[in-house]
Amino acid sequence: MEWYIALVVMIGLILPLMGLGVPVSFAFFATNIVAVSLFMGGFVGVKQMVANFGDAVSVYALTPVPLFLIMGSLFFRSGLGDNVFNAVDMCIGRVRARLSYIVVLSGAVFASLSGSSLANTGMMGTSMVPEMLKRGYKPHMSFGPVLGAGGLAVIIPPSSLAVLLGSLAQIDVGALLIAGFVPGLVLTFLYVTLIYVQAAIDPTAAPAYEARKTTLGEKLRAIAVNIIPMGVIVFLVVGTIILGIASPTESAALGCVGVMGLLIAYRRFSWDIVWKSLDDAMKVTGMTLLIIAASTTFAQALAYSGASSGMINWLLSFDMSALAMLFMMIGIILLLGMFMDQLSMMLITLPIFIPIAKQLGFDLVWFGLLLLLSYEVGFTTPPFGLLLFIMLGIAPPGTTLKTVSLAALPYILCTMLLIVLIIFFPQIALFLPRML
Amino acid sequence: MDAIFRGSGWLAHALATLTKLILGLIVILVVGDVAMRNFARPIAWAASLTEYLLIYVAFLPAPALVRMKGHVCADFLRTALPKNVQAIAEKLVYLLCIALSLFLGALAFQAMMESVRTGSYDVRTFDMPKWAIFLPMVVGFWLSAVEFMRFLVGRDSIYAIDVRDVEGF
Repeated sequence: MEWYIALVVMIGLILPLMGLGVPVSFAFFATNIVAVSLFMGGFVGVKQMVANFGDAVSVYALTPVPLFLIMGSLFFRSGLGDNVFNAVDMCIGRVRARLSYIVVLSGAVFASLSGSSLANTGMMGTSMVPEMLKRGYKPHMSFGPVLGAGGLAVIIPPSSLAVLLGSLAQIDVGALLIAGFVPGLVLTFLYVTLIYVQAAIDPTAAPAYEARKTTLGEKLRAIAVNIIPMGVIVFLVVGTIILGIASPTESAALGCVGVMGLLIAYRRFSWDIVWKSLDDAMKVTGMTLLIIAASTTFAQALAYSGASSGMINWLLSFDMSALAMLFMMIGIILLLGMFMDQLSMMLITLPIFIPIAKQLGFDLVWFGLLLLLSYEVGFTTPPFGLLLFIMLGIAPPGTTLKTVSLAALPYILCTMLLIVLIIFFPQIALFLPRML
Repeated sequence: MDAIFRGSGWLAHALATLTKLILGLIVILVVGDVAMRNFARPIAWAASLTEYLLIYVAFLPAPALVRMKGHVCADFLRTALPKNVQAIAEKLVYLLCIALSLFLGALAFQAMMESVRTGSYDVRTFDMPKWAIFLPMVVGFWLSAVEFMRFLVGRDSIYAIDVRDVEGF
């Protein structure tokens, strides 16, 4: 059978099934059954597919996913996030758009303690958006920073999505996690600059107000008590990998222990919080691992049917430059991101994109980070960007998807600018991993 | 029918609770392994046990996730359909999911019984009976079928979820 027929059958099944609302894992199961029946030995192949489910998920490299989720959930549910907010609030003086800055800076700190964009956005949106609107902030100065900062969790380690991408694409997970650190800081800087420019262009968009005056001593105390201890967690997760002390799984476990230690130190520990954090992790990990179990066969069927290699050879036959090919792949992800969640996109695109990247001689850590940033954009692109809907759920009644999407647009452009910067200056991403 | 759904809901909840305990155990295992590796001897079986536990984490909470609408759906085409067609499409989705759950559960059951009959093992740092690998799949898929059935015959919709309650990354 020609490779393009296999490709059309598989993509022609998976996308409509997902689009019609079949849960993603079940859409993969259905597509796999058809694909395996056609291309991989019929019913015997389907039986083998079930036999392989266990192998697909019993992978030690996937262990950081639940551990990072537990860690982030412990942080948010215990209220440690509020401490960070208050400390950043104290340290930022009477500047225009101060609440927008607080969101972005707190978001960066949250991202270094949690791997979940959804949790970050939910937390910051619920805490800050009502206050910002009350202070007369326009939508692009209130919704925008929350949406932008929420996405930081995808690249600043610990990132559960980076762990998934690394383990699925067989990229060094530790290197990929570390690679996101500097770009995460650059993106935070771009966001801060954006807020400054937006506030300068339209001073009424984020009216200044009299913030509570704090002394230098109070500020230093707030940093010492509420920000620096979080640095311990950052060291446990990022530092131990850079220093070669721990693998990603071990660093994730150390992060969990570190957050528990903080909860005890701040007298916020309770078994109820631990149980709720396990509940959060159970939901996301269960959903994710089931999708991985389902999608592994999808990748195998793509390869076995010749669809992957046929597609790759066909694309390479155009003699496009490596750069053009890279932009095309990023473009496809941005397009898919308008309709699909990050995990589904990852599982559909990686079996094709990773071999292309290898063929073109790309550094896989660099390429993985570019993919990660591109997947992140999908969180805030209409009509189906999940963070947009979370924001709509938090925003006052009558707020439209258009308003929220327009607020997110400058932040999307910042991420795209970062993608371009990393393409032309790979050192931004590779500086730290090369120290490993 | 209500009694069946109450029973399956209770069972799904119990499996979700068991999964949470397993996740807690995974944290303890990994931390214990790191500690032992640095201060004494590494726990040889910890990594393999963690890997096997991930299979349970994947399949045991599946029915509870159906009940609490926790399986991620893209549904970008469904929302563009007229309301009455949406309702039909939704029922077809449930039927498809029921059929898939029953079929995959049956294949997993077959594989499990075969493993029991042959006494086969999966060999890593310790030998794991293969039936124990298939067991969570059988339970997860078949109970998921019952949970999808609840949506098929009832009025609740798997898509009726506040976006703020959506779990993900």
